[in-house]
Amino acid sequence: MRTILLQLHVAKPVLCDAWEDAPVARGVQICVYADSAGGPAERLARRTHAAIERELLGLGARRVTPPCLVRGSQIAPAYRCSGAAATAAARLLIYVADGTGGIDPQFAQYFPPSGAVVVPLVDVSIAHPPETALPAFIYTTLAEVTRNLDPRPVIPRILRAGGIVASSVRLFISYRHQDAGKVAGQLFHALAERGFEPFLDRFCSQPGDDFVDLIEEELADKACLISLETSAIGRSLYCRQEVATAVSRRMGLIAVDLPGSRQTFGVIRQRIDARALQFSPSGEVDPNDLKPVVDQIEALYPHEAARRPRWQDLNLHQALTAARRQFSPEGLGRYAAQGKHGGQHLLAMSAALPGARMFIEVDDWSARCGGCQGTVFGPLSAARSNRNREIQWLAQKSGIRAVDEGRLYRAVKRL
Amino acid sequence: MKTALLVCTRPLPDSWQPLLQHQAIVAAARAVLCDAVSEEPAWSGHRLLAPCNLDILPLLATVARDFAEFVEPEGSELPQAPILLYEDGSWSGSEGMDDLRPLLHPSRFQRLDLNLARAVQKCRPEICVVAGGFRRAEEQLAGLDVRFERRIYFECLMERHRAEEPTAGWIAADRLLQQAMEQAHGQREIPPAVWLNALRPAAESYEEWDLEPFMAFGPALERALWDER
Repeated sequence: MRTILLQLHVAKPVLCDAWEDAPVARGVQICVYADSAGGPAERLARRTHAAIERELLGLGARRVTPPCLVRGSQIAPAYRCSGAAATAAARLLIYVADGTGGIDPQFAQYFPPSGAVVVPLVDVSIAHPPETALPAFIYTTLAEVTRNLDPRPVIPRILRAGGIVASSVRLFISYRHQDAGKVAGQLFHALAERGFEPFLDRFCSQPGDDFVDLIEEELADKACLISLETSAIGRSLYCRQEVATAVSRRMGLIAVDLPGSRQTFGVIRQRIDARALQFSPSGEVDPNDLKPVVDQIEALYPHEAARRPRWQDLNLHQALTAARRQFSPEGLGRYAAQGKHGGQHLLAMSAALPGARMFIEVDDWSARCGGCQGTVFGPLSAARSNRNREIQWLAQKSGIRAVDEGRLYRAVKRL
Repeated sequence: MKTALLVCTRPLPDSWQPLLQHQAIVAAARAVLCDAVSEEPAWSGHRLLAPCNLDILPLLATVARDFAEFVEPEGSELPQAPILLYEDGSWSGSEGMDDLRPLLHPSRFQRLDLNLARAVQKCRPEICVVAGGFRRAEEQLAGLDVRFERRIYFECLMERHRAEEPTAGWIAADRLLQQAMEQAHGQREIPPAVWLNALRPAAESYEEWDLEPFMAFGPALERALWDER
């Protein structure tokens, strides 16, 4: 079952939610724990919990009532969570240090380092070095260090520790090889060390390949594009097409202005000023000089990666509202609408070309609703192509309609 | 079959305007080119007359590719490209044009080699969509021998600092959509969007999403282009 139980414990259980349809291979119980209330540790714990919620929403997970609140009105501590017993195959404890090294012994027993993933989070204002603030059972565990009680830079690593990821942290690095080949490689490794899944190389094109198709394919499962802007990047056909495809697919957009950058792609608002970087004769930069760039990418990433799920949801919601259809929310970018003649329709929106997984999801949803008609909206191709044939085959076999996003409003109006 | 003229003006830099404009251009192209009736994805047969501008050609290419006609190996006629290009003077000034020429593949674009006035005279577009500042677009359209059935612009792309006020007969697609949503809200309770409802209120200022203002350009354009008046 792909459910995440996300809990917040600050001296006592505070919040508990279940998130369904999360991109995990198995159920995960995540507990953000601070031993005491009222201090900076509580603030960091609450911020960490909120940041994870935003990530889960951005990944398309649906918040539902957790089992403990279905059965009663009280949230149980993590070690007595009945929902976890039923659904969670993995446990992740995010221990937010308050400086005392204290922890409820039952938590230490429930989240042993041998059987669970424990991520200590220590802010430099609370303890430095971090291990001085850790309880004995995780004294030797490497802690994530935060500054100014800001957990955002470490969230990608926390999610990876919990086995939650997939396309959420996939970055595509767009660059002009002659200008920035070496620094692109350095950035690739630096981002990988921070828990991202960066992609660097383009598919090898053959004569006759259509570059628009190639780029569409290379960006299909990426959440954010990083453009390394140099003085001559505008001459690169591939870089121009990569940015345009990222815009049309509602991807995150971050530009790194390297020396000589003319800010060619004005469409990218989030920019990192790296014009003072010094390049060696071989085209590389000092790794210490690259660190602030990576820090800024980490800080900007959660916001940029939210663009696509926001569009998927609000675009469909506003089309339904303007078309005066009665509807109910079923998930991010998922709504059940009443047709003109009373039948129920299940509608799902995709920013990228819908694949088999989406058809399966809508099919399952339809089955739960007693066989309602399902429709998937996305950037389909009318051209006679393999892409078109694949989508039409999936639509035909599943009985789910596939409709181009260009007629979203008109299709919804005609339901 | 109709032709829709797309007029673009240079957006305000260092703002969200460039991104919003590009989103509007993609939505306009899809709203015009997508057939609204066919069960399978199909080209509507309508064409888009757009500027041959390096900044937006890659955007248009992503859409044109989806509606490019198949070339019959033994066909006697060349297929029609879904998008016609008029010259706005920007292409010739760009660096490294030879490397960028694949953008103009004839399956996607038919380059008319005509300026706006002559392209309009040749193609007689029935629809005009302005993606950008209204005043500068009007300057481009001034004196053109054309009568549009529909003239559409976006308030969110207007240049506020120029105190733009569109003349009569122009449709603000975004305002039209907003009015439709307000009317719907007035008639019954509309459930909030999952995106807006799923998060707890941001406790810290940095937790607010730092994204461009949201605009459902696609539905807005579809209403403005194709709804009966």
